Amino acid sequence: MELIIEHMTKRFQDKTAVDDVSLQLMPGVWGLLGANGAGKTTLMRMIAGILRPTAGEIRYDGVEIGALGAAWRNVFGYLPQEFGFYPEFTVKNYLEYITALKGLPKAEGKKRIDTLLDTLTLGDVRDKKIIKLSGGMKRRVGIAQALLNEPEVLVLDEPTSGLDPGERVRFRNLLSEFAQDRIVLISTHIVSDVEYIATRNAIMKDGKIISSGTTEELVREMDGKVWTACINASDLMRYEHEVCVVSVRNETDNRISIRYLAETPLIPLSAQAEPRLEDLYLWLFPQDVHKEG
Amino acid sequence: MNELEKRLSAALRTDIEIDPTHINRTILDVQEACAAQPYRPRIGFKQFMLLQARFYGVRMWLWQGLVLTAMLTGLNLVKINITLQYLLRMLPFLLGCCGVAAITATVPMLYRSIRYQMHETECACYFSGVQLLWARLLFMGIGVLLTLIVTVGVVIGQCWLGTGCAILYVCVPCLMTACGYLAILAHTELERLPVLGSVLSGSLVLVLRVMLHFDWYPQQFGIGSGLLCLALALLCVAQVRHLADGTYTAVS
Amino acid sequence: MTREDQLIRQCKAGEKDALDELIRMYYPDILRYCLWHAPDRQSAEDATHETFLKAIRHLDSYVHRGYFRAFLYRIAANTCVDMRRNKWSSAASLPDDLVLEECGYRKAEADADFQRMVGRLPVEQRELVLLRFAQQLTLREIAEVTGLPLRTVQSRLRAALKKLKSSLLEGGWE
Repeated sequence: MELIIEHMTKRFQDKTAVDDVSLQLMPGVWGLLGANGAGKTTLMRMIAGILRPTAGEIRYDGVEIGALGAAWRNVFGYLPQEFGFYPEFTVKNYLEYITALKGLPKAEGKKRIDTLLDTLTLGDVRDKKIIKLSGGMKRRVGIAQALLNEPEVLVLDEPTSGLDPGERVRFRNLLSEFAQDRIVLISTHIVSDVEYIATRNAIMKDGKIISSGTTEELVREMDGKVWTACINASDLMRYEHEVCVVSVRNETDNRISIRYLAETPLIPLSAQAEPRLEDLYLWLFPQDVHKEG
Repeated sequence: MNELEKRLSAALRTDIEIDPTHINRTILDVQEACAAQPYRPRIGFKQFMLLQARFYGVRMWLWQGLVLTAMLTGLNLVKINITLQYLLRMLPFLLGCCGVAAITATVPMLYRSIRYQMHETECACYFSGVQLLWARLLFMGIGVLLTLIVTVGVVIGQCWLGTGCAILYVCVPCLMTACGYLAILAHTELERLPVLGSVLSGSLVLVLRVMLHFDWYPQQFGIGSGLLCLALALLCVAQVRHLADGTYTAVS
Repeated sequence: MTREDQLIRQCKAGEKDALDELIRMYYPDILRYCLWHAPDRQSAEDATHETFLKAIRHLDSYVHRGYFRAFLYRIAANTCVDMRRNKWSSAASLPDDLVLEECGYRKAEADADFQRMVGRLPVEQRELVLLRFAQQLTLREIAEVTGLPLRTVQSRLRAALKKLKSSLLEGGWE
């Protein structure tokens, strides 16, 4: 089982959203990291077959997905970044509607709906109108529809947006289990979503893949660039302008412990820290320092 | 093949000795893979259509029923407030507007996918965006046909016009509108349907008004009218077929 | 209904014997194609094996319109591209001194010269020449395999033959 993305390019009138992206996806969880506007959603729409590329090809087990047509959509599950529901739909109605669109026979569809409602703890709200649910529950309903046809390839665009920390942990566990013998591609700008479960990650910026590899390989790029230091609270603002501060923690005696990124230690008495994937992300996307987490 | 091509073929088309071990291994592995493939039964298009009738068809027909009621009420109001002579003069224009309205009124229903952000989810499913659209167009078409039949029936029943003229004044604008909307669906994204459709419908109503002003409406359903209706119907069919190659499944 | 039509129908219905016969029918041609693209026999056999595995995976999606051969070759072409990128060490798809020597065949000098001339064609022309003359595909099938418009296939083949002809004349061939 492999999904090969080869030289994918998408040009709109005013910009090139995806620029010569090539990836080879094998079974496991793949993280696609990047800031907003990096081109992740455009790439995922092309994989879903709902956006025509300007150039390039996507092949699933040797056959181009356009040629596969319905056979590709049969084994494919997709959760878009922005998705909605018809206002009259209850959770059950919505899943029945998607079941019909996915071509599942009635009995099989019913079984899948019951299983997913149970797995995603939506059983209590099955007859509730979706528009009345919280953001997190709506997101879980969206994830449920993507899993209805037991896809071999699952593509999720910012799936944890709106989920609380507990829900995100449950979601990560669900995905880890699901990704055995399946290809799962998750796009996110929340690094912790994929840091512990992704086999490999690709980082996207301005439409290009700027880095890819296992979490360990990517994290190694930040060796010697992550520092911790203890400073006075009054100095925080000054240092925030001088260095890329990743996190801040209050200590006693009006002192603050900061974690920052730099080629060399820029604050006296800094100690080297063990890098994390989040550090690499913020090193590449410093504008997201204040948004992360 | 010419001489060069024959020599090329002879030079390149080498005899290959097949190692029986390898071919047998391939056959065995393929048979195993075949047996191990998960069985994924899927419903056919007919069953899909029946299911869509529940989710979409009923809602579309209720909506079209409302539109038809509004149209007939409108006609009745006009009839009450003007003289019969003036009504008969206005009737071709009014019926033309009914024909245009029968199609235009379906736009909110077609646009629901975009309005409620369901379009992307729907297009990525087994039954493609185009197949879903075909199903919706069929339900819409049934509703439009009933609307036209009832409208023509009312006109004939009131003895305002002969059958041929009633059909002509309703159907031709309706078919023109349908052609235009199908062309929009086949050649642009669904997001553009409301704006482009409004421009199209508005333009057609304007043309009908100008025709009324200059008294250009034909007074009977002749061969020419019949051929025009047929040509428009065929054009509609061509646009529906073209939908499969078009940008309907594309998101912008 | 041709024998191929029957076999595909039977394969889709899960009949093992039909699968056996279909593979035996196409194995030599696909192996020959892979031999043109692989660095050695073993790699070519691996690519052929992989091609049939992938073809059976997607057999349900294949709507039979008489292009099964093109369907298979398309998978074979993609498989060779992927294997060349990941597994096979040599970068060039066909080395300059290409001859099927690894297979232990001794070709007549003239045939070997022809193969060398084909090996020196630009990649996109070479592929079309191989599909047309080594694998005996029709122009429509080549268009299906390569994803090129039929006219492009025709014009590139014409250009390739022209180049070969002038190479032959330079080499003193009649």
